Amino acid sequence: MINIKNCLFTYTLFFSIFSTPLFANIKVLKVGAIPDQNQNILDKRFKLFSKELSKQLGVDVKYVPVINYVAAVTGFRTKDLDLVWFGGLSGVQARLQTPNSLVIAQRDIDKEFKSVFIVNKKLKISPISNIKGLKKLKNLRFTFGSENSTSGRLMPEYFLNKANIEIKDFKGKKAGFSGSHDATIALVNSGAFDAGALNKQVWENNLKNQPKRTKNVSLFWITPDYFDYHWLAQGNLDKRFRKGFTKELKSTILNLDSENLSHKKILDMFNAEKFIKAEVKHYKKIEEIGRKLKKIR
Amino acid sequence: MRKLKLNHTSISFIPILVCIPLAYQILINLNFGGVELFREFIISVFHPEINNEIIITVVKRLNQTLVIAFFSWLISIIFGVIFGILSSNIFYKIFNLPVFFYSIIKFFLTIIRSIHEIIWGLVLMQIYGINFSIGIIAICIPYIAVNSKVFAEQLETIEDKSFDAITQIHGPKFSSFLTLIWNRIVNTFKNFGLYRLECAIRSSVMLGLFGFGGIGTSIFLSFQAFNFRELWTYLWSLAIFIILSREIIKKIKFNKLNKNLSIFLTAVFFITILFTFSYFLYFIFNSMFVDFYSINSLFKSGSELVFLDFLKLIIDTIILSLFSTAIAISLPPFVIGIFNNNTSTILIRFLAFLLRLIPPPVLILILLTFNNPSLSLAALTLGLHNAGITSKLLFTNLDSQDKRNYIALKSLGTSKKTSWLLGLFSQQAKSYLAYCAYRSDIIIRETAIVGVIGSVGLGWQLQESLSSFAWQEVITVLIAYSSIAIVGELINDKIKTSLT
Repeated sequence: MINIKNCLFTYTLFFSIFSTPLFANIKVLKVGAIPDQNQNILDKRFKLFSKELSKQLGVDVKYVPVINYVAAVTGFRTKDLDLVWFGGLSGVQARLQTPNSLVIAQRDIDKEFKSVFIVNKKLKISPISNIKGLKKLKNLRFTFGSENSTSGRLMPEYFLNKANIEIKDFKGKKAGFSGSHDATIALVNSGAFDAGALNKQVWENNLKNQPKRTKNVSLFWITPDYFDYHWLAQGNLDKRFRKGFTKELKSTILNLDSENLSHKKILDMFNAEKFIKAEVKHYKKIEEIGRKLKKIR
Repeated sequence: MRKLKLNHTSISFIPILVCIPLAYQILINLNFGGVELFREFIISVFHPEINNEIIITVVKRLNQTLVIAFFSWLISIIFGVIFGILSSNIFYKIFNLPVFFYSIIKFFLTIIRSIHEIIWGLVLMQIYGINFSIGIIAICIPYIAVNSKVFAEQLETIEDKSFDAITQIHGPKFSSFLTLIWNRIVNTFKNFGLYRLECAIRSSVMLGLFGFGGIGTSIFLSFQAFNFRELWTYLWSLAIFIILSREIIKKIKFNKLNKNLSIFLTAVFFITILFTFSYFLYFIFNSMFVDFYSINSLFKSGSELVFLDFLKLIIDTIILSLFSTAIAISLPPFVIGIFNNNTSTILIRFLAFLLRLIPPPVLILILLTFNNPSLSLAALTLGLHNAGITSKLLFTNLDSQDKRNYIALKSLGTSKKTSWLLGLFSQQAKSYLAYCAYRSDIIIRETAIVGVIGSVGLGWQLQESLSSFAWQEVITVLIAYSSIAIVGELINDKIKTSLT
């Protein structure tokens, strides 16, 4: 026989436990990032970054992991995220959809960012120096990274188109979407795909730290540079936290110093020497290409 | 050679023929580049990663999954009852309401039922962003509609006799109505309600794969990082979780409840639900008003869909669901029939269990390492996953069946395979086909899941349009999806009636 008291008690308990996530604190600065790499790496990087921000700004900072690019953009639009580390394309998408949002900063490497094309060594395709050489990729099994990635899809597709290669020229008349830069390397390395394109930074990191993962892969081509990742913040932070908060936030990020040991740890995780100023006009070209490839409507 | 006669048994086997074109397309695209990844994947099945850190994550993630499942189940059952009553003819008979409302509610429920919870989730995520409640709402919407259909169907079996008897008393309309429906609703809940909790758990895992948190998210992330050992830790813990919850659900019995207690419990349920519901309303409208302007501007985005391409996507989706249904129908009896001995049966059961356990998105990603993204591959994935489910049902029915015919045939010297076919399966075929017809409703909706990842059909287009924030396209795709599912359901209803 079921006891009424027990039933009620369990029920109340369940309800109170389950409904806790429904009441969130609004005085927390929520930091997010596009999931372009292994979640473990991102977790470490942004938790450390959040801790430093919290220390310097004196507010609670929480890192909210996001599983896909679109969720990051939407989370920013709906103001679930206050400060987000976006790629070029996702940053432009988010900014166009969120009035008053502000470009805060970029890394030193982001103003001359590059993608790399990689091929499986078994194919014995030699590297090229001219964009026209991309024609060699015709009829191969090719994979991009995430669909909304700037360095893993948008710019590579733009350069492929420039060399007169369309997606339908690949084997199977389609290209794959691995989901992340690391996955692209793993797929090409295993031979599941013949070739792929990804972020140059991630490629170099893997070459240096994970030689096993890249042993069957060789570099095919490095693209010309373009603007990529940047921090984007909501326009209402001053109102929510305190006057001049956005300015403080900006200078905190810009003043991360590689001489300082704890700062250096963070900067290393971002693969940067320092953060530098970023402006809206830097991303005009990305916007144009995004519109051309119909990723921005 | 004699002509093949069309009966339920042969119909269960004929669809296996789709494997010929499927195998052709898969074979010409086959490559062995993924062998190494696959080997690692298989080794990890028996070698999952176990340490303190991962166990804490597992518990945390399973808890999230359970929270989403439990809440969505609770809400969808309660509202399922409410909408079930509203969409049953008996309600309109007693209260003398115009049948017009009846058709409107039915139509409305059919539409929201026709779209898979994953699609609701993806669309809602675009509008409201990442939020704990989105997963619950996404599951609730189609579940309320499905539950209400079941409850309504049960209520419509109330006989005219009892209806007439009650109305002749001329008691208050509401109490006579309650008297009529009470037992039906309680019985339906007993038979069907808890089963839906299991479905809700599966759905919340699946939503997790698309970024809504819980164990699904862990599965997806570890797979994306090709960390197979971690992946299997999550998959096995999910399996244990599902088996445990099924056992617990089986143990729960409502027979001992007396009436006062059940009324009391119902009242508690309703109050909680009202609170929860008011929160959701607050949530939806609150955030709706905050950025209504920005959503509005999104709708200005143009549609770039070309009619012919769009038609092709629709046809792809239809073929995808037909092919996967064919595999789900024919593969289990085919394989069980051919490998009809004890060792193979155990092996098949284990394989079927794995196919049910591995979510289709992960399955297709594994297969993709051997093949190009194609319609056949997506159909194979979806077909295999569902064959895992239909074979479980077939096994259960075969086990509980009277084996005398089979033994008699075998002792007459008929071969093992033939006696299995004629002595065991032929008696099952009809009910098996009826279940498959029901399953194919679900398969049509599930094409969205493999479509998104296997880059086939409307699912792929939906993902592309969503990630470009092209709302007009999204709406066009949704309408197409919904129409296919509704037409499919109509056809299936015809098949089901002819089978029963």
